[in-house]
Amino acid sequence: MKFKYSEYIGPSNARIFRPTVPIVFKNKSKFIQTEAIIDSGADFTILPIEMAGILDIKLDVHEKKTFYGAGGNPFNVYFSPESIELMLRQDGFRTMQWKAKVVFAESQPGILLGHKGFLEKFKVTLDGKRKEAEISA
Amino acid sequence: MKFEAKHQGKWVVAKNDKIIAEATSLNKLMKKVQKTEAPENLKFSLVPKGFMAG
Repeated sequence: MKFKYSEYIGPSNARIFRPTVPIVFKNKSKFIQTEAIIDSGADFTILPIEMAGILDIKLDVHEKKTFYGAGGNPFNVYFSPESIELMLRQDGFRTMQWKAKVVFAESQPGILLGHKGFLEKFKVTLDGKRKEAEISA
Repeated sequence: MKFEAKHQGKWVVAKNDKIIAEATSLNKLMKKVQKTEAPENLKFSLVPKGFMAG
């Protein structure tokens, strides 16, 4: 599967291209389709905490952990108590579907697909010149 | 997809890769669209504010 990078207009109208893919997150009958950013600098797949409510996932407040972002800034996260389903779909291709534990973060800037839960499952090639991500099993 | 500067830091929802609504929270955004759109046709995203590093 090949996916074009998404274009973001940032500060001072800077054009930023980021590798994104359409991912469905599903927990039992609840699901949400998203456009998520591939982040090889993230150890885990990290979702904004609001998504836990949408997916009807009860987080354990006693399981709060601290992660560190670039620059060493700490932020609070909660591991999903159970694995959830993730799906990657594209017309003309067989749907890729897997289960993974993800992390929900307070004050998260985006939906990030890191090593655990995403990158460890696939061969991922980022072609910066073509602004294209290729994902294969 | 293309995200404009005005979307930075917000939740957005797209249909056919075009953004149709935005909100400061995912719950608010879902309430905006749930009565008029089928969830399987929608794609949600949280747009990073500024530059990212990590």
